[in-house]
Amino acid sequence: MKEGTAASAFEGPASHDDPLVIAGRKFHSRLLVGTGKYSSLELMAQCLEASGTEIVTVALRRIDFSQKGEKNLLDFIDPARYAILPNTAGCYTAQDAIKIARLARELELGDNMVKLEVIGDEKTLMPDVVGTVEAARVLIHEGFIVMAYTNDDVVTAKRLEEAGVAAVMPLGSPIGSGRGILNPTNIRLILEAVSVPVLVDAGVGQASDVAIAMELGADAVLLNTGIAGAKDPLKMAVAMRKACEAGRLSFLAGRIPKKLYATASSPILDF
Amino acid sequence: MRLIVNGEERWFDRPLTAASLLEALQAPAARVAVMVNDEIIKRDQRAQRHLADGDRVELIHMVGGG
Repeated sequence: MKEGTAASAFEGPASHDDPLVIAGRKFHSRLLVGTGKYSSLELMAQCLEASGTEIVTVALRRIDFSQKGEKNLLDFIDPARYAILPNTAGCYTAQDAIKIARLARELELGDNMVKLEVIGDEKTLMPDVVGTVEAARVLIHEGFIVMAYTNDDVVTAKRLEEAGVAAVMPLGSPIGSGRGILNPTNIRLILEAVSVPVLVDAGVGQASDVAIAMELGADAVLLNTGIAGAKDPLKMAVAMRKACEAGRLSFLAGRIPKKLYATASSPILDF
Repeated sequence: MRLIVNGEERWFDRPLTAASLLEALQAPAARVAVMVNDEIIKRDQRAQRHLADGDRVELIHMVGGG
């Protein structure tokens, strides 16, 4: 606590004492935010700032030449301020994901980091975990720092850790579904089973979902639609930031146990 | 020459390299990754990579995404 600042105990978490560390890189925000689905790039930039995030995900796609004069995403993301994490979104095979990761590296903005996604099903966008592990092995061998999107299965998480990923990213619920953390038990099992950072990624619908993930002990949460699709994305970005901080503090503070019966908070009335 | 750029057929009136193709299309070279027939062409090799008739070229950049 700083001298002469009595209020500092009630300020945000001492995030400088509690950084998120991924592959040796330190971050003070435990919220990662995607850059997709915003109604405008200006709004996106405002939301990223309001969220306090330090890591933003981007996708890779063909240039659309019919959109000449369109604003460029990178003009709205300051690479000095945000770490850019390219993702292999939209890939349904390990080969495609590997190709996209290699292309992303050519753009020289991601510091060799890549969020690996290999999707196995169009309707649910659930990961193809076999393809994910395969792609992870190849990319790690090529020197990438792989953060792997996965399902909430503990064995898959262990296989990914064994392959050498820098982080395991189990989904809370399907991408964009907004159903929050459907399987907190499995997330907890993953947290116990692996030593690499565990980031809950996908399915966040509102701020409490972020708090719940952080209270389970997750190292961080990644979300996109939860902010971009909210009625007031800017307001939601602020809410997500606070929820992430609150959830982390709550986890570190150590909750009371759940009991079957009551324990009064005040002494017995004696008059 | 005929090239297939991002899935679309295009004709050019002179031979091109990967680098001069980017110029011809006014694509921002620093923000684009280039593949020719599924092979990634590194930045420092773009000026040397001559394109052949019928080559499939993919010009990829970063867009918003989760």
